[in-house]
Amino acid sequence: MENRNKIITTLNSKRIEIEGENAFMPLANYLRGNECLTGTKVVCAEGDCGACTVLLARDIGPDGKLNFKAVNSCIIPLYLIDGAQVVTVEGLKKSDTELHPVQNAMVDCHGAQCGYCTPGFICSMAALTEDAKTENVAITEKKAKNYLTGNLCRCTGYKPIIEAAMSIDLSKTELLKDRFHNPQWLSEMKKIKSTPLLMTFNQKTIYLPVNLEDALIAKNKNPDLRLIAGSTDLGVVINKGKLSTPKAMALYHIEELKKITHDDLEMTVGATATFSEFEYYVEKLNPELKKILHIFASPQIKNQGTLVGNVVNASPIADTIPFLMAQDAKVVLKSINGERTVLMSDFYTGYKTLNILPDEIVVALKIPHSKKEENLKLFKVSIRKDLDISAVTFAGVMEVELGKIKKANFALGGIAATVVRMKSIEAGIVGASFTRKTFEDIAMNIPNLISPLSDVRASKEYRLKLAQNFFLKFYDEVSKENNL
Amino acid sequence: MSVGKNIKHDSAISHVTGESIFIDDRPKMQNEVLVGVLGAPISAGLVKKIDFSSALKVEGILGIYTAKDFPHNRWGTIIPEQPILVDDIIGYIDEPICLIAGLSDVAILTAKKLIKIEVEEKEPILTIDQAVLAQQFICLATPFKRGDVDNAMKNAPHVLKGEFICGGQEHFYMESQATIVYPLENGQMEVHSSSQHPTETQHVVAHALGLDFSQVVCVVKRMGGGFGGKESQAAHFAAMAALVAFKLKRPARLALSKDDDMMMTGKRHPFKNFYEVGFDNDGTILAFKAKLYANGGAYTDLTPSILDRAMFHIDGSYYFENCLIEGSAVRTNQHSNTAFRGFGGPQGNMTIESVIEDMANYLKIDSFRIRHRNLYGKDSRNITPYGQIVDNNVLPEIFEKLHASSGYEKLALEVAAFNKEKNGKVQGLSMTGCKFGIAFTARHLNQGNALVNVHLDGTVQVSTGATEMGQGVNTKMQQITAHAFGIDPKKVIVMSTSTEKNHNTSPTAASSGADINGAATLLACQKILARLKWVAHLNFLGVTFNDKDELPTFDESINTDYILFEQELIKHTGTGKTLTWQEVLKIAYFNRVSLGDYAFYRTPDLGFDKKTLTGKAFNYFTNGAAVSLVEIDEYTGELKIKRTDILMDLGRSINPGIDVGQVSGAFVQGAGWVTTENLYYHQSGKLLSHSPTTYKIPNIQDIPREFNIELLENHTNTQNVHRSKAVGEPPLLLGASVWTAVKNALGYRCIKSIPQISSPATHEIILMELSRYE
Repeated sequence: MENRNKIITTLNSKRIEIEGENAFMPLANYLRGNECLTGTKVVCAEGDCGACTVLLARDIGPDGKLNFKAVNSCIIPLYLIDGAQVVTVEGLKKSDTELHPVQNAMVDCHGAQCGYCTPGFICSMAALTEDAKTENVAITEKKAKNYLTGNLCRCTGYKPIIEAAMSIDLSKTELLKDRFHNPQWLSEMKKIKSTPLLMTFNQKTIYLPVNLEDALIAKNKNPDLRLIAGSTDLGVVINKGKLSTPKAMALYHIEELKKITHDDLEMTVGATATFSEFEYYVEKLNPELKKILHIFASPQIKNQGTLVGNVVNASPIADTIPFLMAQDAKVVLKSINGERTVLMSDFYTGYKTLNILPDEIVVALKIPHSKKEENLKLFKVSIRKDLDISAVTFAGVMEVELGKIKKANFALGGIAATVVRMKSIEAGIVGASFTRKTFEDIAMNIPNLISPLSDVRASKEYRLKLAQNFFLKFYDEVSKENNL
Repeated sequence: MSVGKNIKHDSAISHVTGESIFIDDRPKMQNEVLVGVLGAPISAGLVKKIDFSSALKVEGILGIYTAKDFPHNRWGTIIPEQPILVDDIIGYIDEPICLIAGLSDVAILTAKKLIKIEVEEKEPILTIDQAVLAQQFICLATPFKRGDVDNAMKNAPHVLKGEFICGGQEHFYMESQATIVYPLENGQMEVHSSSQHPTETQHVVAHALGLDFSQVVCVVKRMGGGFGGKESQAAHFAAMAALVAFKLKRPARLALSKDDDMMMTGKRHPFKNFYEVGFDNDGTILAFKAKLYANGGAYTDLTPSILDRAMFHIDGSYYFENCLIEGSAVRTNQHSNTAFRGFGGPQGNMTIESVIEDMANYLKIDSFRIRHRNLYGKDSRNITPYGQIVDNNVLPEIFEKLHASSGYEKLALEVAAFNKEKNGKVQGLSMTGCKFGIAFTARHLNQGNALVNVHLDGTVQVSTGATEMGQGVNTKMQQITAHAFGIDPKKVIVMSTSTEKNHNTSPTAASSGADINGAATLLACQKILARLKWVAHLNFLGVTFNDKDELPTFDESINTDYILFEQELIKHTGTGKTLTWQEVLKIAYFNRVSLGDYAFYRTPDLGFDKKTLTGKAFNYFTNGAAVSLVEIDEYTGELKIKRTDILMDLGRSINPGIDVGQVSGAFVQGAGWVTTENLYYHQSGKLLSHSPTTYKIPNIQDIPREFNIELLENHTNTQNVHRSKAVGEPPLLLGASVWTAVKNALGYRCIKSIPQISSPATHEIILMELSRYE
């Protein structure tokens, strides 16, 4: 199949083609510098403040229309918007005299003070109205806060912004997916996504294959091809000048890798399934997991980032890894030579080093379902509850039968170079009585098992104390819920 | 009548559409260059050599500059001691040392890595304790002393002694420091800066380059947040860009990244305050002693004034019969700490609120009863430690009303009952107050000027020294102007602040932007109005004009009070005869009556003698109180604000919508300061929490779950324009109620002693304190 050598995308309904070095620049910089769309602001350049939020539609929803999501444009390289539609704050008003209802609400409720974070809030709030109207649900205070978690404001104290969100009359809100609906673009979009993209400029290369086979061949030929998913971590390190990615491959045009499915035993999450999709999928399947995904990151990051990306990025404070380890999830690896699976607890060999061969690609995660008789608890503590990186994370899976512990899986994050399965604790308590004393003994013994470090997020003393208390909290919650 | 109305912010529409122009949004000029700033590699020491020869060879680099390139390298608002770029002595790590002019960010980043700085390292002083030990002081303040404090302390039934420690705070304005300088002809410079103080920016740029003040114009359209961080600290970054523009004769743009901004610029002053309080059995304060230490960082900046304000506010809302308040500021090898909303006031106020919470825990009396008992009185017990009478005192009214409206008694009972259950959570409740002195304590700054131009189509342009940073000062001036002329506020535009229109302006600071500039605007409007009334008066009398005969010139002695300007009509209140707004302007113009004017305002009756503690330090006080209910997870120390109720006295608010926004914003910023906003430094002195990933300002989930804000009705403030009161800083002090509520909660679990925590009360601080009780 012939490769394309330019990115094709649409920006506020305008079709644009991007060639050369521009393909590698962050979307926000392109908007501001090349398109003079300076409403999109860059404050932190690390996806943490939301000032650069824009709306991005990569997929077509079940209704055959574009599915707009809020994303952080400062950490998205342009090659990740190939075949997508972008709407910026400038694209939201219908005319110079007719603003988007979100914009009117923010004006009327004094939702903007200095105005610097405002365009980002406007875009996130537009995503809120888009989903609320599509799902036909009201905008509650809770819903408004959840959609705006990824936007920082230093002026208003958020109160006027929440009031603005709740004052929006959805019946008078036109859906963006209707306003920007363009059948001609939708058919071109399909064509774009079925043509691989290969662009090189100086030392830089980006390859977007459209099927897994091509991806595996490419990875086999060029083991140093760096895989990039949502760019929520790589985008940051590149922006801060700590890394350049001369050669990268992104998999999001490969349909089969987007899927999340489940059978009676397990759930399979494809490599490019985003956190938002994953969170939506597990909402009913696993409420405890949903709880931790809720505070995992901002909506923008969850709309971009992938579960597999979180696993492969291998941070010792990655929020999902303790769960995956305690749940005995498996990593599915593929190369042209075949497929193998690795248990999560065997996947990490050291700080950011993985049990993975140079030509292998992680194509999916297989996560066993929690059994009815099992208790799952996930804890995360960070400086700020929401929109923060954790200090210590905990996952516990336990089955109790007739007052005795039948199964115990524990994983802790933030206390060593990798997330750790606490196997010695597990071995020590299987068969023991499910009593507070058992867990008090574990807590007492914790300082002998781990030696966390002090850093910007927590002191080693606090980390130790948290690790100890998590076991007590685990016992107290499980015993209370089961009346044990 | 637009004063008192809740009209929209004057930039609201361009803000929500993304069309508002901030510095870095300005279109790029064809030959513009970017300016990068390199920071010093160590906290303290001497610079031996800077070698940038290989950096200069990087493609796209046009020049690299050091301190030697400035004709004058020193600046400083109070004492001109701070180098714009490090010359020989390094004051703090990441202090600007080199400027790199280049065509792209990538080129600048590459060049930065190639600059070699040889240094001779010295042991840095990084804490207040180290600085006191080394006797490194920026200033010692004149103490406030009243009564016989030693004797009163000796005779007091109870005495508590301790220390109150609070951390600094990053401003985290969303728009980092930014400036663009356009070189003009004949050595002139047009500086566009995100600055709260265009006049100082003008002066610092001119002085640094050896130019006359008149050769430099500084323009400020708006800021993406300021909070004090752009009061003094915008100036030297503007001078850096100006140097590049001057050297290369090309426009120069300097827009710091958030990381550089956080590492290079000063923050709120950390304080360590020692205190001793004597009180009776019911909690009446009999004697109070405090010794304040502020960490000023490497240079003086505004530190002496900030220390003063901390001392002026250590009484909080409470009367001290006998007291001794001493203060000093130390010099350390840290970023030079600077103005931040509250300007020392929060650090002073929170000290006494903390002391009272301790007294409550000690006496086992509800803290509200102690606070209420010690409030300033209306007719007696109403003189501050610095000799100012608390006029029109509404503090008792505020505390009592909020006590009732928040259902304080019921909440207190519910909290006590909840805490008995021991379900892994503990709650706390506390009400704190604020009595914030309004005026610059440096008297000369309490002046402002305004230029009002009325155009023939009836629209008006207003220019003052006030700078818009989101607080709505422009909207308030729009309202004051529209109100004066009886026209629709839509007809009034408040223009960019520029030193060529308004001279020798004061910073937009001390909450006084609308007070000073609003008053000056009103005076200018009144001057125009008087002439227009004269014109209308003649018209109503039937006096006409023609090519030969003009209307008689303005006669001030004629009473024109019977003429009213409202709803765009000029009314004769006797006959009911009217002229339209545009008609009167046209008549005035054709008779060569000026439609524009300029006015100057100085806040009257200010003057304070520090030695005798007499006179008037403040024009008036803005008051308020907040009650916060918090909940702590005892396993993790995590903190939730369940509810906050605020009652503020803002006099007659010019714009209640804008003012309530100031209250909620300031409160949340104050709550952030005392909870999650933790500045974390490496032992080398390097700030490690220099981006939102690691420095946590409140997000939308952190605000009180229930958040009620009310304004008190108060018409007594005749000292200020339209009887309004300043709002910018005072509500920030109320964030302390969250922290004292944490102390209250901890009191339920701390049986053997009383809780001792520093600020911010991070989850970590809370859990480690709780584990002390085990």
